[in-house]
Amino acid sequence: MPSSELTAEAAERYLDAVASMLGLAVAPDYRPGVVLNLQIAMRLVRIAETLDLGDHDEPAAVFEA
Amino acid sequence: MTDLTQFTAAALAEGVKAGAFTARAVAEAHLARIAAHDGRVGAFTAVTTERALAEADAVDVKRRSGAPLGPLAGVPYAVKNLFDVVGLPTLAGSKINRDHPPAARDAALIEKLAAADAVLLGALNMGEYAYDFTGENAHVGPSRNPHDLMRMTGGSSGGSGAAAAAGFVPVTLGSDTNGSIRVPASLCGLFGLKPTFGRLSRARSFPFVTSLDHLGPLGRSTADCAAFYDAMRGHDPDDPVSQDRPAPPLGPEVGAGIGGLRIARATGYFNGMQEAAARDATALVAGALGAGVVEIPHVAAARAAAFVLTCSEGGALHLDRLRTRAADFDPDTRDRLIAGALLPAAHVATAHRVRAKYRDAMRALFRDVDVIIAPATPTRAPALGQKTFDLDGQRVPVRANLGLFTQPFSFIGLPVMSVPVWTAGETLPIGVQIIAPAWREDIVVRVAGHLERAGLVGARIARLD
Repeated sequence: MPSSELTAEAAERYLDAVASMLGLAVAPDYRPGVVLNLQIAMRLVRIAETLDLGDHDEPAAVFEA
Repeated sequence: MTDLTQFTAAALAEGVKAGAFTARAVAEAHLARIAAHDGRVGAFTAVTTERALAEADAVDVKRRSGAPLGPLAGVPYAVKNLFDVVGLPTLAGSKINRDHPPAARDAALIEKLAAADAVLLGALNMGEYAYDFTGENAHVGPSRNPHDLMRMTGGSSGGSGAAAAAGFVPVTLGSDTNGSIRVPASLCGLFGLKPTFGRLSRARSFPFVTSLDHLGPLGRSTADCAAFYDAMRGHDPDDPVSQDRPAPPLGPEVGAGIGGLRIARATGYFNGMQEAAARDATALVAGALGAGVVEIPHVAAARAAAFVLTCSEGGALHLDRLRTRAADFDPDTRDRLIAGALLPAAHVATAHRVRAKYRDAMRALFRDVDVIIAPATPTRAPALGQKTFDLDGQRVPVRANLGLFTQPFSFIGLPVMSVPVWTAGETLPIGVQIIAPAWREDIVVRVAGHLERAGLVGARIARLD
């Protein structure tokens, strides 16, 4: 698990790389808000990852055929 | 002259059934209060006057003809505008959905309430696409807290909190993905019931995070919430997460008392990040219940995983709208949804695994405890427009943190009621959560009913004149 904060610069690079894959054109005035929210989300990802999960800890999502 | 807007839902149904007043008189009284005051409160986005009077008249015709009346005969209510209402576009708080055609059929819960002879007065303001804890709305303005019109209602069911606290209707329906029933219940001083995930049908309501979305009532008494729950319960194959299992009525449980229940106040995570008001209210309730203490495992990870699932699944739901109509979103909602859509899938899968492991840990904890008590919100109602607050020395965003204490319980679908506490001399309320094991709404209303009879919790109708 990455130990450091996602920097604004790294979030900008990620945004540029991935938004086009999703077909999202992120307008310049949206970028600061999106970058900030990416940083917040990644901070919470790291907190979620503090829970020790084993190979048999399955996802909660269930599909019934 | 009797003011029918001051009655509980139970008293209104009783009066209509007994012929003390007509359903039309009840509807007209509430519609008049809405007309007089909602311009300042901002609870409603649509008032369905014609429909309300027709439904009320139908109840009165039934009574005059001697036909049996439903349990909510003539009781007015209103719904968050993410419920389908025939003839209205389902806005879900957005500008974009104004372009949707009017709904052709009511939401499942509205159909059940109609069958119980309740009377729909309209659709209520909410945070855009339910991604909100404030009750503010960039497109139509905020719902305002009736107890102080310069303060937030909380959200995202902000209009639902405002309408019941303002005396516009005794009960409203809201949705709760991460706390959107319990946060406005706390800030507006109401009882807010979020039932177990899969308990009440979400069919024909606009989704946010289908893995986490719940619907439920906000009202001014435990009994009123129980009565609405009772009318709405039951399996619905039109909602893919609806569970086909027994759902006994809650009405008889409201007065059943707390004998035999093992009650504990949550410590650790739930002791931090809050103002004294939240601590005092929780201590008051826990003390009155003779609660012990319990530390819930993995809470911070669970709340974080709920956040990750919410922004990711929400981002995916709205991806096409983000591609084509990004400028029409509330900027606060849009930027979070775009960030969520960009999140790596591996993190989302991890969040689902955290959810299952945390649920299992909570199931184990509930072998020794029947009820958990925790704060509902970290503060009383913040000011409208307030962006940050100080919680235990940390300055944090209001929008993300009003749900700090609600998210860990909705994340695993537990039944919870927020009950309103007014500490001595205070004009603003704050809520305390009563949490029970999955499918045990009966325990939640037993505790809430006990606290209400003891005079420790209760709702107030705001004076608006």
